[in-house]
Amino acid sequence: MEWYWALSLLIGCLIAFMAVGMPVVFAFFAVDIIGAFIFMRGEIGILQFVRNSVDSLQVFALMPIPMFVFMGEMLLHSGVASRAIGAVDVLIARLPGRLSLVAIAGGTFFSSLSGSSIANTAMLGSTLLPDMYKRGYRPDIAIGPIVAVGGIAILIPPSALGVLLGSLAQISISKLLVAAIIPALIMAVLFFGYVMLRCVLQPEIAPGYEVQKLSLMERLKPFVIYVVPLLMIFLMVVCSILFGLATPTESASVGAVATVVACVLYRSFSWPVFIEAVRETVKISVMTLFIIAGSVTFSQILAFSGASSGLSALVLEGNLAPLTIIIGMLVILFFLGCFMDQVSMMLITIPLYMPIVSQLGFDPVWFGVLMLIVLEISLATPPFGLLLFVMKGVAPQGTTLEQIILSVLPFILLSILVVVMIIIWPSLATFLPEMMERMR
Amino acid sequence: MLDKFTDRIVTLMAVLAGLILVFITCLIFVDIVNRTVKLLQLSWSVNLAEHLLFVMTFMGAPWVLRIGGHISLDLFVQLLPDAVRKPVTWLAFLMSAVVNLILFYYAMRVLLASYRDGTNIVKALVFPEWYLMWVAPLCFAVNLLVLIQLLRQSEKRQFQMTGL
Repeated sequence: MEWYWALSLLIGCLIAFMAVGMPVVFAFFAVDIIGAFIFMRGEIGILQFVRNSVDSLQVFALMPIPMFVFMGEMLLHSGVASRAIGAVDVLIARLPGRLSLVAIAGGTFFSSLSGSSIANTAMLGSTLLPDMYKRGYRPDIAIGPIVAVGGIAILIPPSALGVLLGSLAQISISKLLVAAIIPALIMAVLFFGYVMLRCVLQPEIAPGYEVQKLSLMERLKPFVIYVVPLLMIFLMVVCSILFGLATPTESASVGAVATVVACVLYRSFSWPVFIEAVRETVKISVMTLFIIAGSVTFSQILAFSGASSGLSALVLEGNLAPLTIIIGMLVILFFLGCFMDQVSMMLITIPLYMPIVSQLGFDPVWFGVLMLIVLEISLATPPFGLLLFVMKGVAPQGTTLEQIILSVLPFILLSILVVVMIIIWPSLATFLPEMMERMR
Repeated sequence: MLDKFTDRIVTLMAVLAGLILVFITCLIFVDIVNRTVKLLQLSWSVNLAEHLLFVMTFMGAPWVLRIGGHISLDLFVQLLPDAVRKPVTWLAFLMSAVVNLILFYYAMRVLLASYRDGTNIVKALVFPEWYLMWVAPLCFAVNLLVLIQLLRQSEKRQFQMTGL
């Protein structure tokens, strides 16, 4: 079978299975079974698939995923996260669009402790949005920042999706995690600037209100009590990776234990809270890792059928400028994100993309960061963008999906701007990993 | 009767998955502490954690399926008229069940072959492969039971969206 027929068959089946509503994991398994049977010598291929599914999860590099998710869930369910957001709220006194800025600052901070953007959006949506509506904020300035900043969680370590990308693409996970920090901070600053500018130009969309007058000390105190210790956990996780003191798995386990200790010290720990956090962590981690069980076979099938090499050769023979190819790949990823989840997107594209990236001679860490940002954008892209639906779930009644989409649009454009900046100035993504390399 | 059995085994496996998660985290943490104080001989801890990550995932999968936690794209299905949506939803459950049935069959073959041949896993820990491999057919079999349960209640239950 020609490689293009093989590729069409595999991707076509996958899309058809997903479209009828099969869980993504079983759609992948079904394609793996079909592909293994056709391209890997019948039953032997399926038996190999079963072995692969067992082996592909026994990987040390995947272990930070549940631990990073656990950190976020523990902070979320114990109420420590909302207290930290409250402290940020007190600190930011009289700025235009104050609560939207609190959402961005608090969300960026919480995303530095949470591996899950879903947890991030759910927490900010349920704690801040009702207050924003009460104060007369219009949905377009209230919802957008919360959804957009939720996506930053997949950029700032600890990022479970970052670990997954690194593991699937065989990119150094440590480098990828630290490489995404600067782009994430640029994104947060751009979001901040946009909200302030918009609220200055259109004050009616975020009416000002009297904030309780507090001295500087009174404003700083909750920040020092509730935010600084959590920032220390973040710094410990990031610095131990950055300076090569620990692997991402090791720093994730220290981060998870430190999070529990922090909850105990804040007197927010209880067994029901702990069990709920474990429960949610198992749910999210198992959902993600179970799909990974089908990943090795999927890549093998793409390789055995000649689809990976055929597509790679076709693209490289097209005499297109290397950057045009990279942009084309990102655009495809962006469109996939309109109707597909992030893990599926990675599973489909990584085996096809990474050989091309390496043939073109680009830094895989740089490309990994670009991919992460596009995945982050796709989290908020209609019609399927996951964060849109999470927001719909936690927003006050009467909030329509259309309102959510419209409010997110400017933030998507700003995120695309960050992608463009990283393409023009690759050192935005490569500076920290290179520094890390020099320090070792 | 079958429903009760399914519920019990799914819950038991999920509880095990949760305990494994806590255990893995503590194990890695103890390993790091131990590197400094060197009280215990823990050269096997990383390998054990790797094996347990697989066990956790496969133990937790049927529970995640039962609570509708496995990601699915219901966008197109929601656009369909009622009369078509029901059979399509039913078809999705049925196809998922067939996938699990096939995987159960082949996972059993791998398990039996591994037991018969006495295949060992040789890393820091050395043990027969089937100690680990039995989890795979168990997972697919219980998935199948859950899907049968869901098939019978397909009007009430749907797959939901979730993610990282």
